[in-house]
Amino acid sequence: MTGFWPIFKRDLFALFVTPMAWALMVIFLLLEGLNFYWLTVHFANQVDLAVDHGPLQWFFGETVLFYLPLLMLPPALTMRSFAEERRAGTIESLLTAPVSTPGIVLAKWCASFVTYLVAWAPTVLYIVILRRAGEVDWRVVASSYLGVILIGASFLAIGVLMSAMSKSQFVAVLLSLAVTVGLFILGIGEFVFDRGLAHDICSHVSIWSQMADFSKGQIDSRYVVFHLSLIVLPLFICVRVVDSWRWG
Amino acid sequence: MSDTSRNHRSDDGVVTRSTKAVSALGVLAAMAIALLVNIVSARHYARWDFTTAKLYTLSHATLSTVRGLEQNVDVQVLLSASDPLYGSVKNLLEVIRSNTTRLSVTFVDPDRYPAEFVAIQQKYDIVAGRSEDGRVVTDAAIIVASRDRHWFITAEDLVDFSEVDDGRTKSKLEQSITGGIRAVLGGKRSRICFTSGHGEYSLDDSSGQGLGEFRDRLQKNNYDAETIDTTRSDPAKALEACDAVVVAGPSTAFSQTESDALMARMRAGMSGFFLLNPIFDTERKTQLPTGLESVTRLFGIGLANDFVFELDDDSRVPRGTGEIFFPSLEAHATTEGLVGLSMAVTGLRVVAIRSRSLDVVGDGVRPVTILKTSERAFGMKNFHAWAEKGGEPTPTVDDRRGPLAIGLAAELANAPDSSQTHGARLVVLGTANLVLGQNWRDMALRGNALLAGNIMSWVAARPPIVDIPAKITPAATLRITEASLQEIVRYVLLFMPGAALLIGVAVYLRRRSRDDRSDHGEKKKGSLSHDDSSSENEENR
Repeated sequence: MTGFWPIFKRDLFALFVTPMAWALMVIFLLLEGLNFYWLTVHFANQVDLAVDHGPLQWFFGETVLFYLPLLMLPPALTMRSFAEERRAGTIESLLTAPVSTPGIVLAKWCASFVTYLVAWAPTVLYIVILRRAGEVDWRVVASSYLGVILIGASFLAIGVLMSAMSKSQFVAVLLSLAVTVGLFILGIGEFVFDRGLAHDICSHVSIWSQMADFSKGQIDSRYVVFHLSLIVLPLFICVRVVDSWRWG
Repeated sequence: MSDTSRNHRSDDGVVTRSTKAVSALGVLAAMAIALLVNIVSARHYARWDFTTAKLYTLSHATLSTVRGLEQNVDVQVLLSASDPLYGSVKNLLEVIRSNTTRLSVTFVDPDRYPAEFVAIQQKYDIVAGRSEDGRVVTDAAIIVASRDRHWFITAEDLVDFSEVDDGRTKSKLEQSITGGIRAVLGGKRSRICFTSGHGEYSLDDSSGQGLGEFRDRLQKNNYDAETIDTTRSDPAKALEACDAVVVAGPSTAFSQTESDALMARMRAGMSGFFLLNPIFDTERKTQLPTGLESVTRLFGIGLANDFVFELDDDSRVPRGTGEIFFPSLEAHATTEGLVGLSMAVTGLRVVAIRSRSLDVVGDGVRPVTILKTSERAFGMKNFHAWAEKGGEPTPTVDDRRGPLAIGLAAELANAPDSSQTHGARLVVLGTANLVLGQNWRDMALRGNALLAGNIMSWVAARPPIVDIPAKITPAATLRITEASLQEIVRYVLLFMPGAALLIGVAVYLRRRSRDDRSDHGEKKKGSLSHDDSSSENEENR
């Protein structure tokens, strides 16, 4: 893990001093704000009979406005990780510096992860507003954010890997989107296939179902294991990819 | 180049093939391990309930029920995927299923699998209608079945919603499902006795004018239905083994002995369903008492000797003189699925033919009206006088004026030493056509069939077998005024993104000015170095 801190700080700083990170933040807050506004209008006028279907469940996973940033933000945050370094030629100096490959990969993933958390942080204010207008189960809020964190972390890991596999930021973002959106669409198969292997596979990877559970205050070990493996595996492959550059 | 990477190179600087192969194998192994870990985790998983109300944590009653299952139990969920209760039911069943291998769960979405749904509909005699948004809504949301027994759970059984309680929802999912599982497991079947010997409709008559269809439905619902003739044998002995008694349209009066025997059994906890249409003595041209007046009086229900005519055009069928009409239903356990939204969805109505009116009498038990006429209806006291004369029926001063109760339900207080959770129950209807076979054959009369089934379930209800308190969830409503909504719009759509935008602009401007300064510095440095080089040149020269 040699060299983790300097690279982490440099990448984190680089993300926040570029206007792009803030532009992403503005778009993210606009989408989530719109999502929140719609839910307040909905629940101010009517209620659902379901026992576990309230404003929190709506906010964390009932609309496309939630999934849009969840799918788009990680590729946008990670596209520069390695692709930009390779394009600018700075990767050579990084590889020749006395830093370990896992240190480089983890530092880049952690920097984008912290940025991702910072982007989601203002949404806590929505929950505070909800608390003032109604009732909020804070334990359910915690499990909902755990879902957001796990899904985000795994998508960021995929994004870092895709950035390492391409020289262009644009290609990196496209590849990341292809994987994350593909995963999301595969999950929808849960509602398409009848009971069987295909249904089980789709429901295992279904981001929709996972968020539905997390937002209801249910933490399922299957989903936690799935996302932990989706964090570790791409980062491990990424380490091997970066190592291969060192070998020439 | 780092030491590590140098180690991978051979002397001539080329990466060995074995290093690449090991690396590729490592990636493949990692993928395989990730896959295996996921397969194992999918088979052996745990779910943690983070809700404050412990919505998904099973009670001891449920755990002991499902873990102790010795026979297979099938649960069929007939909810549309878009139903708000679908997710909640699915979650709970998933948790229950993780505790037993004896429970199989099938989801039959009526919208996606209409053929499969129709088959279940016919097998279990389920009523279905469509909601405003096109969803299929059934009177049974879940069917719990095991061997030859089954149990229906309606949407109303699953959740309590109270607008007066700030839109708070109380989950009864676990209670209902566990109750359903216990209901289909072994135990004693309720015994329903149908009286005979007074010209009642026959249990063995499978025609549209008999009780054969009703008997079949009762048997499908885990009841034993049998006929008892209280006129021939000792009525007290005949009633001894009955959990509930049905008197379906007698045409002659019950004797005092029979009445006393019924009263004694009902005081002891037996329930009853009396369908007492007007009885006429055609020779004397008078309306006869049923002989059950003292029994019904015990429950605060009086039987009027009259004949109801409905004069409101919206509440009667166009043909006839108003003796066939549509009584309105009042909210009660016996009218679930037929009142309010359910009625609007299914469009089912109850049809009453030849009815007497009922009264609330005495100061003890207060019966609840479940069926009543319109305000324009009246109960004709002297039916024979009008029958001889003919013409349109018109109320006289002696007649009872609407709205008239033609269905009352009452429950006695439970005896202090009783093991039952409620006392004897009695439902009295002023008409007898609700239990006839035609109600199950003619779709236009399905409202009658549903009401008869509901009444029987309520009357013969066994004591609740599970005691799981309803779980209170946070109120789903938001107390938001128009002004605060505007404030929310300003905060979430203007101030928060606006703040991020301002910070972004500030970062951009600061960076730009720093870049400008560094450019300027480099230029200056460049010009300085140019001066230096000129002087150096001069010196060289």
